[in-house]
Amino acid sequence: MLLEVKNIRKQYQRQTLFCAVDNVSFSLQQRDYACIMGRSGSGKTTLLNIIAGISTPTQGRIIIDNTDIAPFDDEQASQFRNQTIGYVPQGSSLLTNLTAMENICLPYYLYSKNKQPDNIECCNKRAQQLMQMAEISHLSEIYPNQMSGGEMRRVAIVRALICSPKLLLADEPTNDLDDESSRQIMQLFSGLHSQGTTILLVTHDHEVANYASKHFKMEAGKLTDYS
Amino acid sequence: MHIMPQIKPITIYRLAWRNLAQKPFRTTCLIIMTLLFSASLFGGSILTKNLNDGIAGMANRLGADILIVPYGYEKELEVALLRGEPSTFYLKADLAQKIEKIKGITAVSSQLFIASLSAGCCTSKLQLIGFEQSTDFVISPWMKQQLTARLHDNEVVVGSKILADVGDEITFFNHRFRVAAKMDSTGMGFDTSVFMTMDAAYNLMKTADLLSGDVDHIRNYVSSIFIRVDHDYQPKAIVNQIMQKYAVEYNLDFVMTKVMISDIYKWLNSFSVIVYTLAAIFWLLAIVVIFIVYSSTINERKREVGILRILGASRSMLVKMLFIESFIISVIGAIIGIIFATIVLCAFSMLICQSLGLPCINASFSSAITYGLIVFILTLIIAPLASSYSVLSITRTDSYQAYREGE
Repeated sequence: MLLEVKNIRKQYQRQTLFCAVDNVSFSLQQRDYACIMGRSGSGKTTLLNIIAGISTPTQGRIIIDNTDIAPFDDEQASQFRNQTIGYVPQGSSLLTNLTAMENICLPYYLYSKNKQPDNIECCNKRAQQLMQMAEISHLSEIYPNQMSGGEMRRVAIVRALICSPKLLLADEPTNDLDDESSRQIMQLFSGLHSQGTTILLVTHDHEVANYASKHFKMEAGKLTDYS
Repeated sequence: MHIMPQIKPITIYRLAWRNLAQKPFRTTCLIIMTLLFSASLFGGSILTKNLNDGIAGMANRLGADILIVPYGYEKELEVALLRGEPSTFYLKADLAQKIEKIKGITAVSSQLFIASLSAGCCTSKLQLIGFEQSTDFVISPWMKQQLTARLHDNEVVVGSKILADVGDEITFFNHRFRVAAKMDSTGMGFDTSVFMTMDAAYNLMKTADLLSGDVDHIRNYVSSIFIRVDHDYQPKAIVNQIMQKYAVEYNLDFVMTKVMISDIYKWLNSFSVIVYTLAAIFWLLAIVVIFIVYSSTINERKREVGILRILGASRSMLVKMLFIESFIISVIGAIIGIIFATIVLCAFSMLICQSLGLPCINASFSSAITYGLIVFILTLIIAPLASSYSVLSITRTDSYQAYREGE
């Protein structure tokens, strides 16, 4: 089992106690391509953030690759996220003062103590391979403000893959994109899946969901239906 | 085929640099704020030290407790001593023999001041000073190392700022003099003065027709009488005695060196209060401005911080990155400020001292380094201190919420 989500609950104190994620449990095997569908505000992104270790649950456990991330402190959780999970957030998530290539290589160097030429070469090589696969080699020296929305999203996906994560999470990966760009992005995910990457994405778009082989539905914080 | 660039590792330090480089105007403004503080504190401190050392040096070296001048020339003497501004005034020389008998006076020596015309060595007038070698206790102690033999009538000793070297010849009123010695810097007006024997000075005055009236008895006049008082006696009591006996006959004025020095120190204290108040204002101003600038960019930075968190950066990494940014601002501001102040001081320190009318001695290299380090450390804490609230508030925000809020 690559991912086990056990009885996850996330409550917020607003005017009343609000339960964004309500006792959710599911699991993913390696090489799964899963999708959580649901309307805006149903708790999909919150659940994804909890799985990524960005947000802490009020209750429950997340086990990724046989590692329970609950006892981790911030340093450990951050390093685990960096090396085990690739996360493609909603919207434009590139740092505007870095080129595409620098954005992509950034996660690689966050915990890499070894800045020797061999290691740099290794990172550059992997980034080049991934960019070729995503057909964005021509963007390597381009800054985000000179890219289209689809190009930025593809760079973000490549960046999520630079540390060879075991699990790739994507939050509304085709949101705000035109049909052609959406199709390219989803083909990229399919390609990654066929190469063995485990993918979990959340979306409200049925067409996007169709690319996945495993489907979950989320409604008012509950995972109500799956196939 | 597209050739991929080989990029350097993107470290936290490089990110901090990039963030600063991305906002050049904001970064420059913040650097200027820290620079104002470091330049004003370093420049002001060194200038105060130069003045302080100059005055202390003057107080130590002057040797005389009381200076007698003709009535109304008290200020001229002070100006001549402090700035070396040439002036000429006379009183009867026999007073020196009379007052040396007063109990409590241990030494008396006369000096004759002559304001020169421009000499070949210098672009402006000089103060020529004739002194009595047999009785002198004011000039000679500074010349012991430079002048081994007795000064001859055709020889002069020049102050440290006179552009002439030992062996050179200088002409005053068509009289040629050989430079027998050059004094060390005194920080006083003596640095721009030329010293000669009393006979040479009288001779110069006579042949140059500088004194009108009693020309035949030119040797009956001196400009100032320097008095050293025994430690067991109060200079003020000695002045009272001289006043009672000779003030009317000789029409005298007195300069008490301790009073003069104390007045200068009072002024210097006020000056240093202004300098340090100004530096404190700049320090607070820099902190307030940087605090406001950082606080106003919290939302803008949330997105960037959120992205980095999502990519796996820990909170401590982000705090480090944001503090490195503010450290860079402080370090650059401190270095440029200190260098700027050093250049200004090197170029204008003496001019500033002259315009203030006070003696100056340039601070030693080790003092400058010590002051520089203190200013550097004080400047270093400005930006991190001012940005700490924003840094902690940004990094405490929930990562994804920060990212979404910043979008």
